[in-house]
Amino acid sequence: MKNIEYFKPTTIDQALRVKQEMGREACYIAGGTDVLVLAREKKLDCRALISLRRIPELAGISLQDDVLHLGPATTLTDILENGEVARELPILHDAVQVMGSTQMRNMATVGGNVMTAASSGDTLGPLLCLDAVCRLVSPGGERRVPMDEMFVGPRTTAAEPDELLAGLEIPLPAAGGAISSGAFFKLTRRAAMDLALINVAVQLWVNPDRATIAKARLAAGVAAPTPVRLKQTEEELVGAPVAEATKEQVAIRAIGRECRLRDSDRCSAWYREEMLRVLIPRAAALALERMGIAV
Amino acid sequence: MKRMIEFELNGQQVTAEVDGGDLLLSVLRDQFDLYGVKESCGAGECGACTVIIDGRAVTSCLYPAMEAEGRSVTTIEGLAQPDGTLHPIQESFIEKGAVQCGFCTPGNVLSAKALLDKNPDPSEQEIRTAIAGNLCRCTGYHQIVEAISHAAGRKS
Repeated sequence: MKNIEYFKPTTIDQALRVKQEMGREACYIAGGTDVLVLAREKKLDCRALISLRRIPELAGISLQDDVLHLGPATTLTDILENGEVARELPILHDAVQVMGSTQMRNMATVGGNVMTAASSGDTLGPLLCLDAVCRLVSPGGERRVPMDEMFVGPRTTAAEPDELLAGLEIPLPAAGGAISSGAFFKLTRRAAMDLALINVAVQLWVNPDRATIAKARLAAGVAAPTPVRLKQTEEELVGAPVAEATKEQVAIRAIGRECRLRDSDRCSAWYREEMLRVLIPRAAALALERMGIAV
Repeated sequence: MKRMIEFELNGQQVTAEVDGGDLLLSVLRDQFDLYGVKESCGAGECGACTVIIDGRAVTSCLYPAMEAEGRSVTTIEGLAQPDGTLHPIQESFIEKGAVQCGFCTPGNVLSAKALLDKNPDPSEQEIRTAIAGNLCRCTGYHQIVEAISHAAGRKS
Protein backbone atom coordinates (compact mmCIF):
# COMPACT_ATOMS: atom_id res chain seq x y z
CA MET A 1 0.00 0.00 0.00
CA LYS A 2 1.31 3.42 -0.93
CA ASN A 3 0.03 6.98 -0.76
CA ILE A 4 -2.21 6.14 2.12
CA GLU A 5 -3.36 8.78 4.55
CA TYR A 6 -3.14 7.67 8.16
CA PHE A 7 -5.35 9.29 10.76
CA LYS A 8 -4.82 8.90 14.48
CA PRO A 9 -7.91 10.33 16.15
CA THR A 10 -7.96 10.49 19.94
CA THR A 11 -11.74 10.60 20.37
CA ILE A 12 -14.64 8.63 18.87
CA ASP A 13 -16.09 11.88 17.50
CA GLN A 14 -12.90 12.66 15.59
CA ALA A 15 -12.86 9.14 14.15
CA LEU A 16 -16.48 9.40 13.03
CA ARG A 17 -15.84 12.79 11.44
CA VAL A 18 -12.92 11.50 9.36
CA LYS A 19 -14.97 8.51 8.28
CA GLN A 20 -17.87 10.77 7.35
CA GLU A 21 -15.64 12.99 5.23
CA MET A 22 -13.86 10.15 3.45
CA GLY A 23 -16.68 7.62 3.21
CA ARG A 24 -15.75 4.29 1.71
CA GLU A 25 -12.26 5.50 0.88
CA ALA A 26 -11.32 5.22 4.55
CA CYS A 27 -11.06 2.01 6.57
CA TYR A 28 -10.86 1.68 10.30
CA ILE A 29 -7.82 -0.17 11.60
CA ALA A 30 -7.43 -1.40 15.18
CA GLY A 31 -4.83 -4.12 15.76
CA GLY A 32 -4.27 -4.49 12.02
CA THR A 33 -3.90 -8.26 12.08
CA ASP A 34 -6.84 -8.69 9.69
CA VAL A 35 -6.83 -5.34 7.85
CA LEU A 36 -3.15 -5.42 6.90
CA VAL A 37 -3.29 -9.03 5.78
CA LEU A 38 -6.19 -8.08 3.48
CA ALA A 39 -4.26 -5.05 2.26
CA ARG A 40 -1.27 -7.20 1.45
CA GLU A 41 -3.48 -9.54 -0.56
CA LYS A 42 -4.82 -6.45 -2.36
CA LYS A 43 -8.31 -7.21 -1.10
CA LEU A 44 -8.63 -3.88 0.63
CA ASP A 45 -9.47 -0.85 -1.43
CA CYS A 46 -8.91 2.30 0.57
CA ARG A 47 -7.03 5.58 0.44
CA ALA A 48 -6.94 6.20 4.14
CA LEU A 49 -6.67 4.28 7.38
CA ILE A 50 -8.30 5.53 10.56
CA SER A 51 -6.45 4.13 13.53
CA LEU A 52 -8.48 3.18 16.59
CA ARG A 53 -5.40 2.60 18.74
CA ARG A 54 -5.21 5.96 20.44
CA ILE A 55 -8.79 6.49 21.51
CA PRO A 56 -8.89 5.95 25.28
CA GLU A 57 -12.71 5.53 25.33
CA LEU A 58 -12.39 2.51 23.03
CA ALA A 59 -9.97 0.50 25.16
CA GLY A 60 -10.00 -1.04 28.60
CA ILE A 61 -12.11 -3.28 30.77
CA SER A 62 -14.33 -2.06 33.58
CA LEU A 63 -17.08 -3.49 35.72
CA GLN A 64 -20.20 -1.48 36.52
CA ASP A 65 -23.44 -2.77 38.04
CA ASP A 66 -22.76 -6.38 37.10
CA VAL A 67 -21.99 -5.46 33.49
CA LEU A 68 -18.48 -5.86 32.13
CA HIS A 69 -17.67 -3.06 29.71
CA LEU A 70 -15.15 -4.31 27.22
CA GLY A 71 -13.57 -1.69 25.00
CA PRO A 72 -13.46 -2.99 21.43
CA ALA A 73 -9.88 -1.79 20.97
CA THR A 74 -8.73 -3.82 23.98
CA THR A 75 -5.99 -6.20 22.88
CA LEU A 76 -6.36 -9.92 23.37
CA THR A 77 -3.33 -9.81 25.70
CA ASP A 78 -5.08 -7.28 27.94
CA ILE A 79 -8.17 -9.50 28.04
CA LEU A 80 -6.06 -12.58 28.76
CA GLU A 81 -4.33 -10.82 31.67
CA ASN A 82 -7.53 -9.41 33.15
CA GLY A 83 -8.46 -11.04 36.44
CA GLU A 84 -12.18 -10.27 36.20
CA VAL A 85 -12.43 -11.91 32.78
CA ALA A 86 -10.56 -14.98 34.02
CA ARG A 87 -12.81 -15.25 37.08
CA GLU A 88 -16.20 -14.22 35.73
CA LEU A 89 -15.95 -15.13 32.05
CA PRO A 90 -13.79 -18.26 31.73
CA ILE A 91 -15.51 -18.96 28.40
CA LEU A 92 -13.91 -15.81 26.94
CA HIS A 93 -10.61 -16.35 28.73
CA ASP A 94 -10.39 -19.86 27.22
CA ALA A 95 -10.90 -18.44 23.73
CA VAL A 96 -8.39 -15.61 23.97
CA GLN A 97 -5.78 -17.97 25.36
CA VAL A 98 -5.72 -20.05 22.18
CA MET A 99 -5.87 -17.23 19.64
CA GLY A 100 -2.89 -16.51 17.40
CA SER A 101 0.46 -16.14 19.10
CA THR A 102 1.85 -13.80 21.74
CA GLN A 103 2.68 -11.25 19.03
CA MET A 104 -0.82 -11.48 17.54
CA ARG A 105 -2.48 -11.18 20.95
CA ASN A 106 -0.36 -8.10 21.64
CA MET A 107 -1.87 -6.40 18.57
CA ALA A 108 -5.23 -7.99 17.75
CA THR A 109 -8.36 -6.60 19.40
CA VAL A 110 -11.68 -8.11 20.40
CA GLY A 111 -13.55 -5.47 18.40
CA GLY A 112 -11.54 -6.40 15.34
CA ASN A 113 -12.54 -10.02 15.81
CA VAL A 114 -16.21 -9.00 16.00
CA MET A 115 -16.13 -6.65 13.00
CA THR A 116 -14.14 -9.08 10.82
CA ALA A 117 -17.02 -11.45 11.61
CA ALA A 118 -15.31 -14.57 10.32
CA SER A 119 -17.18 -17.73 11.18
CA SER A 120 -13.96 -18.94 12.80
CA GLY A 121 -13.56 -15.87 15.06
CA ASP A 122 -12.79 -17.38 18.43
CA THR A 123 -14.25 -14.64 20.63
CA LEU A 124 -17.57 -14.70 18.79
CA GLY A 125 -19.02 -17.91 20.24
CA PRO A 126 -18.21 -16.79 23.78
CA LEU A 127 -19.68 -13.32 23.17
CA LEU A 128 -22.83 -14.93 21.73
CA CYS A 129 -23.14 -17.24 24.73
CA LEU A 130 -22.67 -14.32 27.11
CA ASP A 131 -25.51 -12.33 25.48
CA ALA A 132 -23.09 -9.48 24.83
CA VAL A 133 -24.43 -6.25 23.37
CA CYS A 134 -22.64 -4.14 20.75
CA ARG A 135 -22.80 -0.36 21.03
CA LEU A 136 -22.66 1.03 17.50
CA VAL A 137 -22.16 4.78 17.10
CA SER A 138 -22.50 6.94 14.02
CA PRO A 139 -22.84 10.68 13.41
CA GLY A 140 -26.59 10.06 13.73
CA GLY A 141 -26.38 8.65 17.25
CA GLU A 142 -26.03 5.34 18.96
CA ARG A 143 -27.83 2.00 18.84
CA ARG A 144 -27.41 -1.20 20.73
CA VAL A 145 -27.36 -4.46 18.83
CA PRO A 146 -27.42 -7.84 20.59
CA MET A 147 -24.49 -10.00 19.50
CA ASP A 148 -27.04 -12.51 18.28
CA GLU A 149 -28.14 -10.02 15.60
CA MET A 150 -24.64 -8.91 14.58
CA PHE A 151 -23.55 -11.69 12.23
CA VAL A 152 -25.79 -11.37 9.21
CA GLY A 153 -23.62 -13.18 6.65
CA PRO A 154 -20.12 -14.42 5.95
CA ARG A 155 -17.76 -11.70 7.18
CA THR A 156 -20.71 -9.33 7.33
CA THR A 157 -22.11 -7.58 10.38
CA ALA A 158 -25.27 -5.61 11.01
CA ALA A 159 -23.19 -2.42 11.34
CA GLU A 160 -23.81 0.23 8.69
CA PRO A 161 -20.76 1.63 6.87
CA ASP A 162 -20.88 4.82 8.96
CA GLU A 163 -21.15 2.96 12.26
CA LEU A 164 -18.27 2.29 14.60
CA LEU A 165 -18.24 -0.41 17.26
CA ALA A 166 -17.78 1.71 20.36
CA GLY A 167 -18.40 -0.76 23.16
CA LEU A 168 -19.16 -4.32 24.15
CA GLU A 169 -21.33 -4.88 27.19
CA ILE A 170 -21.35 -8.25 28.86
CA PRO A 171 -23.83 -8.91 31.67
CA LEU A 172 -22.02 -11.01 34.27
CA PRO A 173 -23.47 -14.54 34.12
CA ALA A 174 -23.24 -14.95 37.88
CA ALA A 175 -24.98 -11.65 38.66
CA GLY A 176 -27.59 -11.76 41.42
CA GLY A 177 -26.24 -15.00 42.83
CA ALA A 178 -26.93 -17.06 39.70
CA ILE A 179 -24.86 -20.22 39.34
CA SER A 180 -23.18 -20.19 35.97
CA SER A 181 -20.00 -21.00 34.14
CA GLY A 182 -18.82 -21.67 30.65
CA ALA A 183 -16.08 -23.19 28.55
CA PHE A 184 -14.65 -22.91 25.06
CA PHE A 185 -12.82 -25.43 22.91
CA LYS A 186 -11.12 -24.95 19.60
CA LEU A 187 -9.90 -27.65 17.27
CA THR A 188 -6.77 -26.81 15.31
CA ARG A 189 -4.04 -28.71 13.53
CA ARG A 190 -1.36 -26.98 15.56
CA ALA A 191 -1.58 -25.41 18.97
CA ALA A 192 -0.71 -21.82 18.01
CA MET A 193 -1.31 -19.51 15.06
CA ASP A 194 -4.06 -21.58 13.55
CA LEU A 195 -7.64 -20.88 12.60
CA ALA A 196 -10.26 -23.09 14.14
CA LEU A 197 -11.33 -26.15 12.17
CA ILE A 198 -14.30 -25.81 14.45
CA ASN A 199 -14.84 -24.11 17.79
CA VAL A 200 -17.44 -24.58 20.48
CA ALA A 201 -18.63 -22.34 23.30
CA VAL A 202 -21.03 -23.39 26.06
CA GLN A 203 -22.34 -21.31 28.96
CA LEU A 204 -24.71 -22.98 31.44
CA TRP A 205 -26.79 -21.62 34.28
CA VAL A 206 -28.07 -24.14 36.82
CA ASN A 207 -30.95 -23.93 39.27
CA PRO A 208 -30.27 -23.65 43.02
CA ASP A 209 -30.85 -27.43 43.22
CA ARG A 210 -27.60 -27.70 41.19
CA ALA A 211 -29.23 -30.65 39.43
CA THR A 212 -31.19 -29.01 36.61
CA ILE A 213 -30.39 -26.45 33.94
CA ALA A 214 -31.91 -22.98 34.27
CA LYS A 215 -30.57 -21.53 31.03
CA ALA A 216 -28.13 -22.65 28.35
CA ARG A 217 -26.15 -20.99 25.61
CA LEU A 218 -24.37 -23.04 22.95
CA ALA A 219 -22.49 -21.63 19.99
CA ALA A 220 -20.29 -23.05 17.28
CA GLY A 221 -17.82 -21.53 14.83
CA VAL A 222 -17.03 -22.78 11.30
CA ALA A 223 -20.20 -24.82 11.64
CA ALA A 224 -22.14 -22.49 9.31
CA PRO A 225 -21.36 -19.39 7.19
CA THR A 226 -21.54 -17.28 10.36
CA PRO A 227 -20.95 -18.14 14.01
CA VAL A 228 -24.19 -19.79 15.16
CA ARG A 229 -26.08 -20.24 18.36
CA LEU A 230 -27.78 -23.62 18.74
CA LYS A 231 -31.01 -22.09 19.97
CA GLN A 232 -33.35 -25.02 19.66
CA THR A 233 -31.03 -27.11 21.78
CA GLU A 234 -30.60 -24.27 24.28
CA GLU A 235 -34.37 -24.21 24.78
CA GLU A 236 -34.68 -27.95 25.12
CA LEU A 237 -32.03 -28.01 27.81
CA VAL A 238 -33.96 -25.66 30.10
CA GLY A 239 -35.26 -27.70 33.01
CA ALA A 240 -33.33 -30.81 31.97
CA PRO A 241 -30.97 -32.63 34.34
CA VAL A 242 -27.47 -31.12 34.11
CA ALA A 243 -26.03 -34.30 32.60
CA GLU A 244 -28.23 -33.83 29.55
CA ALA A 245 -25.94 -31.06 28.28
CA THR A 246 -23.01 -33.48 28.18
CA LYS A 247 -24.74 -36.18 26.13
CA GLU A 248 -23.41 -36.97 22.69
CA GLN A 249 -26.96 -37.62 21.53
CA VAL A 250 -27.90 -34.01 22.30
CA ALA A 251 -24.88 -32.78 20.34
CA ILE A 252 -25.70 -35.01 17.37
CA ARG A 253 -29.25 -33.66 17.26
CA ALA A 254 -28.03 -30.07 17.53
CA ILE A 255 -25.51 -30.51 14.72
CA GLY A 256 -28.07 -32.08 12.41
CA ARG A 257 -30.68 -29.38 12.97
CA GLU A 258 -28.71 -26.20 13.61
CA CYS A 259 -25.35 -26.41 11.86
CA ARG A 260 -24.54 -26.19 8.19
CA LEU A 261 -21.22 -27.96 7.99
CA ARG A 262 -19.24 -27.93 4.79
CA ASP A 263 -16.07 -29.29 3.29
CA SER A 264 -13.27 -26.79 2.91
CA ASP A 265 -9.58 -26.89 2.02
CA ARG A 266 -8.78 -27.14 5.68
CA CYS A 267 -11.18 -29.80 6.88
CA SER A 268 -14.04 -32.03 5.73
CA ALA A 269 -17.62 -31.60 6.90
CA TRP A 270 -17.53 -35.21 8.10
CA TYR A 271 -14.59 -34.52 10.40
CA ARG A 272 -16.13 -31.27 11.64
CA GLU A 273 -19.25 -33.19 12.61
CA GLU A 274 -17.29 -35.94 14.35
CA MET A 275 -15.37 -33.39 16.38
CA LEU A 276 -18.40 -31.27 17.27
CA ARG A 277 -19.93 -34.43 18.74
CA VAL A 278 -16.93 -34.64 21.03
CA LEU A 279 -16.38 -30.99 21.84
CA ILE A 280 -19.94 -29.85 22.61
CA PRO A 281 -20.30 -32.42 25.43
CA ARG A 282 -16.75 -31.72 26.58
CA ALA A 283 -17.36 -27.96 26.82
CA ALA A 284 -20.60 -28.57 28.71
CA ALA A 285 -18.83 -30.94 31.11
CA LEU A 286 -16.06 -28.40 31.76
CA ALA A 287 -18.62 -25.64 32.36
CA LEU A 288 -20.32 -27.85 34.95
CA GLU A 289 -17.01 -28.85 36.48
CA ARG A 290 -16.20 -25.16 36.91
CA MET A 291 -19.38 -24.82 38.95
CA GLY A 292 -18.25 -27.76 41.07
CA ILE A 293 -20.82 -30.09 39.51
CA ALA A 294 -19.59 -33.54 38.57
CA VAL A 295 -21.41 -35.47 35.86
CA MET B 1 0.78 10.61 2.28
CA LYS B 2 4.23 10.93 3.82
CA ARG B 3 4.72 12.44 7.22
CA MET B 4 7.59 12.78 9.68
CA ILE B 5 7.29 10.73 12.83
CA GLU B 6 9.51 10.56 15.86
CA PHE B 7 10.05 7.49 18.00
CA GLU B 8 12.61 5.77 20.18
CA LEU B 9 14.65 3.14 18.39
CA ASN B 10 17.06 0.99 20.37
CA GLY B 11 17.34 3.69 23.01
CA GLN B 12 17.79 6.65 20.69
CA GLN B 13 15.26 9.25 19.52
CA VAL B 14 14.93 9.01 15.74
CA THR B 15 12.79 10.56 13.04
CA ALA B 16 11.56 8.95 9.86
CA GLU B 17 9.46 10.04 6.91
CA VAL B 18 6.78 7.41 6.44
CA ASP B 19 3.69 6.81 4.33
CA GLY B 20 0.40 5.75 5.87
CA GLY B 21 0.76 2.44 4.07
CA ASP B 22 4.33 1.74 5.22
CA LEU B 23 4.91 -1.15 7.55
CA LEU B 24 7.33 -0.79 10.42
CA LEU B 25 9.27 -3.75 9.03
CA SER B 26 10.23 -1.97 5.83
CA VAL B 27 10.99 1.33 7.58
CA LEU B 28 13.37 -0.41 9.99
CA ARG B 29 15.16 -2.24 7.19
CA ASP B 30 15.15 0.42 4.47
CA GLN B 31 15.64 3.61 6.45
CA PHE B 32 17.65 2.38 9.42
CA ASP B 33 19.51 -0.58 7.88
CA LEU B 34 18.36 -2.89 10.66
CA TYR B 35 18.58 -6.13 8.72
CA GLY B 36 18.11 -8.27 11.81
CA VAL B 37 14.40 -7.59 11.26
CA LYS B 38 13.57 -10.35 8.76
CA GLU B 39 10.68 -10.54 6.39
CA SER B 40 9.38 -14.01 5.71
CA CYS B 41 5.62 -14.68 5.62
CA GLY B 42 4.54 -11.05 5.75
CA ALA B 43 1.30 -12.06 7.41
CA GLY B 44 2.22 -12.33 11.08
CA GLU B 45 2.50 -16.09 11.05
CA CYS B 46 6.23 -16.79 11.28
CA GLY B 47 7.59 -14.24 13.76
CA ALA B 48 10.83 -13.54 11.85
CA CYS B 49 10.09 -9.80 11.89
CA THR B 50 9.39 -9.66 15.64
CA VAL B 51 10.35 -6.44 17.43
CA ILE B 52 9.50 -5.20 20.92
CA ILE B 53 7.28 -2.14 21.18
CA ASP B 54 6.72 -0.66 24.63
CA GLY B 55 7.68 -3.96 26.20
CA ARG B 56 5.52 -6.22 24.05
CA ALA B 57 6.60 -8.45 21.17
CA VAL B 58 4.81 -7.68 17.91
CA THR B 59 5.32 -8.69 14.30
CA SER B 60 6.56 -5.60 12.47
CA CYS B 61 5.15 -6.87 9.17
CA LEU B 62 1.65 -6.15 10.49
CA TYR B 63 2.51 -2.96 12.32
CA PRO B 64 1.84 0.35 10.59
CA ALA B 65 4.99 2.49 10.78
CA MET B 66 2.79 5.47 11.72
CA GLU B 67 1.86 3.67 14.95
CA ALA B 68 5.48 3.70 16.11
CA GLU B 69 5.16 7.43 16.68
CA GLY B 70 5.99 8.24 20.28
CA ARG B 71 6.66 4.62 21.15
CA SER B 72 9.81 2.72 22.05
CA VAL B 73 10.98 0.12 19.52
CA THR B 74 13.66 -2.49 20.20
CA THR B 75 15.21 -4.63 17.48
CA ILE B 76 17.85 -7.33 17.82
CA GLU B 77 20.49 -4.69 17.07
CA GLY B 78 19.54 -2.96 20.33
CA LEU B 79 20.36 -5.89 22.62
CA ALA B 80 24.14 -6.12 22.69
CA GLN B 81 26.24 -3.50 24.50
CA PRO B 82 27.92 -0.82 22.35
CA ASP B 83 31.25 -2.62 22.90
CA GLY B 84 29.80 -5.77 21.38
CA THR B 85 29.15 -7.67 24.60
CA LEU B 86 26.17 -9.86 23.89
CA HIS B 87 22.96 -9.87 25.90
CA PRO B 88 22.67 -12.89 28.26
CA ILE B 89 19.86 -14.30 26.10
CA GLN B 90 22.10 -14.13 23.03
CA GLU B 91 24.92 -15.82 24.97
CA SER B 92 22.55 -18.58 26.02
CA PHE B 93 21.34 -19.12 22.45
CA ILE B 94 24.94 -19.66 21.33
CA GLU B 95 25.84 -21.83 24.28
CA LYS B 96 22.81 -24.10 23.92
CA GLY B 97 22.99 -24.50 20.15
CA ALA B 98 19.74 -22.61 19.62
CA VAL B 99 21.10 -20.91 16.50
CA GLN B 100 21.33 -22.94 13.32
CA CYS B 101 20.52 -21.19 10.05
CA GLY B 102 19.85 -18.04 12.07
CA PHE B 103 16.88 -16.64 10.17
CA CYS B 104 14.42 -16.98 13.05
CA THR B 105 16.97 -16.14 15.73
CA PRO B 106 16.37 -12.38 16.09
CA GLY B 107 12.63 -12.98 16.48
CA ASN B 108 13.07 -15.79 18.96
CA VAL B 109 15.58 -13.80 21.03
CA LEU B 110 13.23 -10.79 21.13
CA SER B 111 10.21 -12.91 22.06
CA ALA B 112 12.37 -14.36 24.83
CA LYS B 113 13.42 -10.90 25.98
CA ALA B 114 9.83 -9.63 26.11
CA LEU B 115 8.94 -12.71 28.16
CA LEU B 116 11.85 -12.51 30.61
CA ASP B 117 11.46 -8.76 31.14
CA LYS B 118 7.93 -9.43 32.33
CA ASN B 119 8.36 -12.86 33.87
CA PRO B 120 11.95 -13.52 34.99
CA ASP B 121 11.25 -17.10 36.04
CA PRO B 122 8.96 -18.66 33.41
CA SER B 123 7.88 -22.29 33.32
CA GLU B 124 8.68 -24.37 30.26
CA GLN B 125 5.07 -23.98 29.16
CA GLU B 126 5.27 -20.21 29.49
CA ILE B 127 8.43 -20.21 27.38
CA ARG B 128 6.79 -22.34 24.72
CA THR B 129 3.74 -20.06 24.68
CA ALA B 130 5.95 -16.98 24.33
CA ILE B 131 7.73 -18.36 21.25
CA ALA B 132 4.72 -20.11 19.70
CA GLY B 133 4.58 -17.33 17.11
CA ASN B 134 8.21 -17.83 16.04
CA LEU B 135 8.70 -20.58 13.50
CA CYS B 136 12.05 -22.38 13.43
CA ARG B 137 12.72 -24.97 10.74
CA CYS B 138 16.09 -26.11 12.11
CA THR B 139 16.25 -26.66 15.83
CA GLY B 140 13.01 -28.43 16.63
CA TYR B 141 12.64 -25.75 19.35
CA HIS B 142 14.16 -27.84 22.11
CA GLN B 143 17.42 -25.91 22.15
CA ILE B 144 15.59 -22.59 21.99
CA VAL B 145 13.47 -23.46 25.02
CA GLU B 146 16.60 -24.63 26.81
CA ALA B 147 18.46 -21.43 25.94
CA ILE B 148 15.65 -19.22 27.25
CA SER B 149 15.38 -21.24 30.42
CA HIS B 150 19.14 -21.02 30.87
CA ALA B 151 19.10 -17.26 30.28
CA ALA B 152 16.37 -16.88 32.92
CA GLY B 153 18.50 -18.71 35.46
CA ARG B 154 21.51 -16.65 34.57
CA LYS B 155 19.70 -13.35 34.99
CA SER B 156 18.07 -14.14 38.31
